[in-house]
Amino acid sequence: MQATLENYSKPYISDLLTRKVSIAPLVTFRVIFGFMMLWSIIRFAANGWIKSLYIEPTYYFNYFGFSWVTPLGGPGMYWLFSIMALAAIGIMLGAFYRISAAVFFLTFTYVELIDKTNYLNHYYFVSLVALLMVFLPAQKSFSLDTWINPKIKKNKVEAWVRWIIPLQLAIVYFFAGVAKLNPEWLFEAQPLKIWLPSKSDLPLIGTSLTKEWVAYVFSWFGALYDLTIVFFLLYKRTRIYAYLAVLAFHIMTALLFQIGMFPYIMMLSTLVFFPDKYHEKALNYLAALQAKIFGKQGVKFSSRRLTNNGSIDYNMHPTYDLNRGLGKDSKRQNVALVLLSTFLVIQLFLPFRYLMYPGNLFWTEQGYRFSWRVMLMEKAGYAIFHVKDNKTGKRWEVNNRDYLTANQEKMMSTQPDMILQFAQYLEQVHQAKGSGDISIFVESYVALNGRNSRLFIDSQVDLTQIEEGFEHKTWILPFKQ
Amino acid sequence: MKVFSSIQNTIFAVFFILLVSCDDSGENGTTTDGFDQEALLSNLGENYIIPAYTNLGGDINQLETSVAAFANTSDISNLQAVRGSFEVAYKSWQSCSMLEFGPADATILRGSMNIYPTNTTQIESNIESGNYNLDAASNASAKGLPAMDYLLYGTGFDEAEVVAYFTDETFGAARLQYLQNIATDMRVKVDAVLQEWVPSGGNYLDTFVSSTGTSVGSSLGLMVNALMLDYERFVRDGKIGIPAGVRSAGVTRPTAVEANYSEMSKELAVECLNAYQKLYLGNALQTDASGQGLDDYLTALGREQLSQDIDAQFTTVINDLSALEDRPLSVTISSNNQSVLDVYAEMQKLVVLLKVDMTSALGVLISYQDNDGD
Repeated sequence: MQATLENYSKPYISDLLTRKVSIAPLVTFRVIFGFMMLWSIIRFAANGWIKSLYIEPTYYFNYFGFSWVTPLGGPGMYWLFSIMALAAIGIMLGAFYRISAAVFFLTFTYVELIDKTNYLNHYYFVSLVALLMVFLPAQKSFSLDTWINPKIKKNKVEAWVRWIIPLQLAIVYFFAGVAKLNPEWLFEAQPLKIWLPSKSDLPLIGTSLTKEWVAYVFSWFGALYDLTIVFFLLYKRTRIYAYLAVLAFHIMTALLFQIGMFPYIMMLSTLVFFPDKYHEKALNYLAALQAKIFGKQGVKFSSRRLTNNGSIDYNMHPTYDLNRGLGKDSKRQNVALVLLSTFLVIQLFLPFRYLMYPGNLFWTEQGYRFSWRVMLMEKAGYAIFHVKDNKTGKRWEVNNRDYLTANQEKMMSTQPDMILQFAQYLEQVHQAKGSGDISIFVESYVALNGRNSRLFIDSQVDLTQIEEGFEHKTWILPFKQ
Repeated sequence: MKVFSSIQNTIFAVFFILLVSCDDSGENGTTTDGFDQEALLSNLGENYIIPAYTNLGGDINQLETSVAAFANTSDISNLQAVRGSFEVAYKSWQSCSMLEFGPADATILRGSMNIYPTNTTQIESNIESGNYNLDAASNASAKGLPAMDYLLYGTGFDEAEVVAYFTDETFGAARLQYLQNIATDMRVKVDAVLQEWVPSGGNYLDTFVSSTGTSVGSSLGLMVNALMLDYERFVRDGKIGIPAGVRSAGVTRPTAVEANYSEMSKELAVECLNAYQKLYLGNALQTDASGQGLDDYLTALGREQLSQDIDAQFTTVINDLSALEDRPLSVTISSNNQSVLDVYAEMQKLVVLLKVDMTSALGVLISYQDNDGD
């Protein structure tokens, strides 16, 4: 077998980045990504979540600095999701690709920024990948764009272009693994010790999930998996087993936890680690299928043929030029590399920003998001907001459900920034109703990883007097074991 | 046979890891296996839930019969008989209110039985027009036990006046008819739910017992979510918080109490909390005989302290409720609201223990709405 990555021997560093490799893995990823996104959007809409998450709530927890991102109301949100779905189809088919990818990134990210209640690491992952896709030439083969304009066709890209997506996946896995290297996960098997027994109704494995040692095995295996899977996927001799592990791991998480599309996205995305020839075969198979369906006159994306040794014989198609578009514009490429490096450095920094805050990360959640901390803690809370009229001295309680959905209330009650936001929203609401000078206090209780609940926020602090921001929140009570 | 040997190696490695881990936790005693969820569910179903609906069904039937007798001969002694069966039925309802999942949820039983404060204007206009559909949304607060509470106690200052209300020349017959209609409406709905539960009927008991686990659709998931919703909204807020002004910027609403006209509010609240404690402990409804309950489950999960704390807090709330002044709750709210607010605070602690600690320990997802997590 020739032409697989491992067989390029002793390359220089610069060669490693600029070496020409097949565009096929990038193209299959484009198709897979577009497809998965379309599926996700359809599922989201079918579950009624556009309405329940982005139309029905009366209040939305915006991200600090993004208060201008607001939902678009009744028909507006459906239009936004429709445009997003069209853009996903555009990505999948490679139709008006750059515009499609840009529109998808913008619409998807806009939706995610509306309400931090709905933050999920895999949505963050999708936003990052979508941004990358805008700049990757993933439409230059097997696409409607090349069918319309065959001149843009490319069969090779520089290696760094092909390896960006695998690198992004590596970041996700590795940091998810690093996040698991904490005493609670490793030595207490928390939160799996709580979560696994609750799934004892599963067939076959159900009864063993109640055993404590199983929680330890899952915890350690999970950490080990996240930390090492990318290396095993990269190494030729372990790759197939590693991919079987990917399937096993993600099918397991799909069965055990309610985490939606994430397992499927990861199972399909990691296919990008397979060598070029598999992707070429897959694309050719799809092309052949298309030829069968549409007939000879039909849409035909590729005229490549495989030679006996599995690599592509470009001579069979005279218009193919191996070197087309490569190294043509090195200045532009340097700019791209600088931007890309910045993008990566920021991602490497974000998971560690929590170190700038005192206190227990799981308790305060200062620097918790955007860090690939997935399924890491069992945290439940309950927050009672007390309003005090400073003129009359009267105190009363707020019914959170008058302003928040059940899901919003649940998410808010364990996250200090959201508690503060809600308190300040309550102040606005009361002032709009004509209440004069009021103070708002929160009495909130949080239970973390199987400990008894305890007071979370200083209940003597008037939250209307606190400024929102990234400074350390001194009004979070210290975490005691 | 290179491929074969690597598979062998993998399998060997996995077994090795399993064995080592097994050894590690051998001395660590807090395993959860041995707790039989099915035993818990069947105990709750057979010894609490079905008896609770059976009781309620019998008492509502009795109520319907006494209402019919009162309609036949509208005198004071028959009114007393109706009031007697009404009070018994209202107490029985307190053991069922928190079971609004499965059949009760499908029938929206609580919506037919106990929406208060009742809308007296709506009731009177229904009676006058004679043209009403009790299942219409507009009549949600014009039927059930609260409507009967008004009709039997709120239509006159003494028994003679109430009898006079029902023997009125113009509207007496229509009023008696309304009384009968709401009694029948309740009886039909309670019977429907009971029939769904019993093995001789829809046998939801079987579904209930076999849906183990704690995911959203499991029996424990459904039941704990139903308990929490009922406890927060209809017990803590409905019975105590809202009348005491907790939800209305401190302005009390004494007439918003449950059973305002018959003045059974305090008694019903105590009855309800007792029922909650029984269900939590897995005790039999009739005999109070101990069985597998949520407390045992918590203990099996290594949370014995929490298990006891919750039980103790139930007792505290029951004692504090019972210790409220011996007069109608609406009067206590008007005269000494602080004593009611103090009970409210204790009820609130129970919310934290149940909703935060218990659900978290059990791994039950509290969610009245389905969504992904990560």
